[in-house]
Amino acid sequence: MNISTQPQVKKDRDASFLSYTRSICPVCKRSIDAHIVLRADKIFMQKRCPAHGFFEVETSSDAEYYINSLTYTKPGTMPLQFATKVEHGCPADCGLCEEHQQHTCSPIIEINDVCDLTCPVCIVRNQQRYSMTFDEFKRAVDTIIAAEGELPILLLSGGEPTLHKEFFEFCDYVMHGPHAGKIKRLLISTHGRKIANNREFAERFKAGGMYASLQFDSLKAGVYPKIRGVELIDMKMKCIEVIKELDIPTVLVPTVSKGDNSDELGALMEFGLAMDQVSSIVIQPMAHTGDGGDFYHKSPAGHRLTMPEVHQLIEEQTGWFKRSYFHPVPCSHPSCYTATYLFRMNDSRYVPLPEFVNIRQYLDAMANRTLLRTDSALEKMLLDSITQLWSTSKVGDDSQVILDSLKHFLKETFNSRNPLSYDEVERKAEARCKAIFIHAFMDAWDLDVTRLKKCCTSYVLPDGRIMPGCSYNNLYRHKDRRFFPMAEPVTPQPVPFKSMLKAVKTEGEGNQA
Amino acid sequence: MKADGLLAGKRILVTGGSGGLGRGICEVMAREGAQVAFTWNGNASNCAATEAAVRRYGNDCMAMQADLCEPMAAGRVVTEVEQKWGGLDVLVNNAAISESIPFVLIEDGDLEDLMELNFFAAFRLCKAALRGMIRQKNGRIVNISSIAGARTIPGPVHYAASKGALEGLTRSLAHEVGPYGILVNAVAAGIFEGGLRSTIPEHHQKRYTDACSLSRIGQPAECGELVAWLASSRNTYMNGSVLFLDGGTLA
Ligand SMILES: NC(=O)c1ccc[n+]([C@@H]2O[C@H](COP(=O)([O-])OP(=O)(O)OC[C@H]3O[C@@H](n4cnc5c(N)ncnc54)[C@H](OP(=O)(O)O)[C@@H]3O)[C@@H](O)[C@H]2O)c1
Ligand code: SF4
Ligand code: SF4
Ligand code: SF4
Repeated sequence: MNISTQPQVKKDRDASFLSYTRSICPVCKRSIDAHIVLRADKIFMQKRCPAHGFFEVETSSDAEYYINSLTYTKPGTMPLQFATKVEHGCPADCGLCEEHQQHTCSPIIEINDVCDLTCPVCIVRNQQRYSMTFDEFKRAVDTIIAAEGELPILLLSGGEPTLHKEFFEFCDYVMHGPHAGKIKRLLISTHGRKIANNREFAERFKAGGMYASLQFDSLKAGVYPKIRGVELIDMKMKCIEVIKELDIPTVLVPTVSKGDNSDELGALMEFGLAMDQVSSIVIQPMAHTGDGGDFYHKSPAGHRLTMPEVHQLIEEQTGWFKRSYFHPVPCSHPSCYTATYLFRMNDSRYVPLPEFVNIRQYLDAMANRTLLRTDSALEKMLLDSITQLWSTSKVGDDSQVILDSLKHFLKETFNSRNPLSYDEVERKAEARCKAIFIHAFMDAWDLDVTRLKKCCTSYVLPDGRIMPGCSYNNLYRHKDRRFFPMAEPVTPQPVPFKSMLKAVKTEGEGNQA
Repeated sequence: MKADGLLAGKRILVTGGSGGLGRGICEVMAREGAQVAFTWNGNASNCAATEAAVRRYGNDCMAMQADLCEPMAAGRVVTEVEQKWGGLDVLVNNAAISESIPFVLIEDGDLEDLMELNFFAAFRLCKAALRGMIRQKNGRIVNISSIAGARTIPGPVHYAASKGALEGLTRSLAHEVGPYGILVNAVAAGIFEGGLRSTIPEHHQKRYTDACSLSRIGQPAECGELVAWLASSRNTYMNGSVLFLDGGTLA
C-alpha cells in the first residue's frame, strides 16, 4: 500500500475577488453569474456557463483607475414614466423597467436597417428591408418625450438614416412638430456619403439645423478597408470639406479597433479640435457585437481597448494631453463614459476644464447629462474658477492666459454690441469649449448588468419600450420583429402606448456608425 | 399725426432709437403726436425700421447717426434738432451697452468704454439739452436705467455702476433744474425684448420670468407708454424718481 505522506495544500485563487454581477454567455447568450476580479493591477470579468465553460475578459487595464472611478457616482434621475414591469429580473425586463437607475439623456431612434456599406465593425444587424413608417417614428418620439419631457439630444441612426425616404420629414417632426423646442439637438448618425456627394442634400441638412454625428475612423488610406470594408478616405475628406464650407455642426465619432487605428487616436482628436464645426468627439472602442462585430476578430476577448488604455494612448500620441484630464461621467456607470472638456485659449492652445475648475463642481455640472448646459451650476463653476484663478495668478503665467481667454470668450458671447440668440451662444460655446467623450459599448464578453442598470443611452422603440443600449444590442436586437419578423415575441410586453400619450398631452452616437 | 395726443407738438430726442427699447419708445411717442428725432450708431437697417415706424403716424422724424462716445457728438445732435425744429422739449437717454463679464476680469478699459456711453454721453446730452430747456422754462428728461442700478441682482458690475450713476444724476439734476420747469426721472427697466437681453444668460431670464407676476419679459412699447407719460405735460409733480418697470418681479 502506497500512502502518500504529502499533506494536501490549499491553493489561493490567482485573482482577488472584488464584486459579483450578472452577465451572459458569449456563446449561447444565457444569463449567467459573473465575478469582477483584480489580478496584477488589472481588472477582469470571470464567468462560467454550464454549457460552454469558463470565460475571462480584461475590463480595465488599470485597477487603481477602475476602483477610483467607482466613486464617481450620483443618484440617477427617474424618467417621468417607465415602460415595463419588473417581472423576470435584470436584464430580462428592459425596459425601462422600474428598477432602472437612470433616465435617458441620449436616446437613439433607428429609422431603418438599410445601409450601402457592410462594415466589418458594424454592431447592428442590417437586413436591408426595414424602413420606419412616419407613424412609428412619431410614436417613438412621443414615447421618449413622454418619458423625459425634454432632451439635450436625440440621435437618429440605422442602418444609414440618410437613406430613409422620409428622412427630412422625420427631422422636421422633431424640430418643428408638436414637441418643437423640447429637443435641443438632433444628431444624425451617418457615414457621411450623402453630405459628401449630394450638394442639395447637404444644403437641406444644414438648413434643417441638424448635427452630423459623423463616423470618422482614420485620417489615412488603408484603414477604412479593414474597418469599413472599403476605402473611404477620399469620401470622408470631401465630407469634411462640405461640413466646413456649409458650417454644419458636427460630432466626430471614431470607432477604434486595437491595432487597426488605435495609433491614430491623438491625431483624430487634434483634427477635431482644429475644426470650428466640431462640437465634440466621441471615441468608441469597438464592441464585438452585431453582424460585423461578431466576426471581426478570432479572439474577441483579447481584442479590446479598455478605458484606461484609450486614455494612455491619447496621452502618448498627443504629448500634451494628460490621461488625468479624463473623468468618468457620473451620469451613467463610470465604466461606460469618460469625458473631458477642452477650452481653446486665445493662443489656440487647449486647456482642459478640469485643470482650472473645481472638480466637484465640474462633476456636478456633468451629472445626469452628457452635455454641459449653460445653467446656474455651470455659471457658478466658471465664476468660482475665474475668481480663484485671478486671486492666485501672476502676470505672465498660464493662468493669466486662461483668464484673458475666458474674458475674450465672454465679451464676444454676451455682449449687447453683438447680440446673439441662445442657439448662437451655444454654438459659440461649443466651438470654444469642446467635449471629448469615450463611450465604451459592451459586447457579450464584457456585458455587465451593473452597467446596464445605469445606462443613459437607450434605443427608443415604436412599441413604447426604451432599451438600454448594450442590453438591446446584445440581448434584444436579434429578436426585434421590425428587423426579424419571424422572431419570438419578447416578454414582458410594454405598457400599452395609449397610457403614455396621455402624459404627452397633459403637459452621440450609435451603431459604430 | 394725432393732434390731441399726450405729446402733441412736442419735439423729442431719443438716443439709441435703432435699438429694442429705443424703437418702442419712439413708436409710442409718435403715436402720441410727438415729432421724434432719434440717434443710431452702427445698425442702419434698424434705424430705417424705426424711422418707418415713426413716419407711419405721419410725424416728422429725424434719424441722426452718431457715436455718442465721441465727446462732441452730444452737442451736435442736440443742436441739429434745435436748428431744425426750433427747440427741444424732451430728451430720452436710452442708448447703452452691456457685456457679461465678472468683476475680477473688468479692467479700466472695459469700464471706460461702458461708462463713456452709459453715463458720460447721458451727462453730456443732459447738459446740451438743458441750455434750451432752461431758456424756455420747460422740459422733460427721462433716463432709461435698469433694475440692476438699484438692486442686488446678477449682472455685470460696471453696467450696474453705470446705471447707479445715472440714477444719482437723475435725482440730483431733478433737484437742481426742477425750479426751471424741467422734470427729470428715470425708468428702471426689468428684462425687455432688446439687445441688452442677449447679455443675460438663459437661466437668469428664466428665473426672472418665474419671479415676474406676469410671467414674461417686457415689450419695448410697454416701456414707451411710461416714458411717454413721464415726458408729457400731464406729468407735473413726478420729479427725481426712479420708477421700476418690471411686471412686479422685484415688487
Ligand atoms: N433689454 C433689456 O432687457 C434691458 C433691461 C434693463 C435696462 N435696459 C436699458 O434699456 C436701454 C436700451 O436697451 P436695449 O436692450 O434696447 O439695447 P439695444 O437693443 O442693444 O440698443 C442699444 C442702442 O444703443 C445704440 N448704441 C450702441 N452703441 C452706441 C454708441 N457708441 N453711440 C450711440 N449709440 C449707441 C445702438 O445703436 P446701433 O444699434 O445703431 O448701433 C442701439 O440703438 C438701455 O439703456 C438699457 O440699459 C434694457
Ligand atoms: S437594464 Fe434597466 S430596464 Fe433593463 S431590466 Fe435592467 S433595470 Fe430594467
Ligand atoms: S449603451 Fe452601454 S456603454 Fe453606453 S451607457 Fe448604456 S450600458 Fe453603458
Ligand atoms: S456601421 Fe453604419 S455605415 Fe457601417 S454598415 Fe453598419 S450601419 Fe452601415
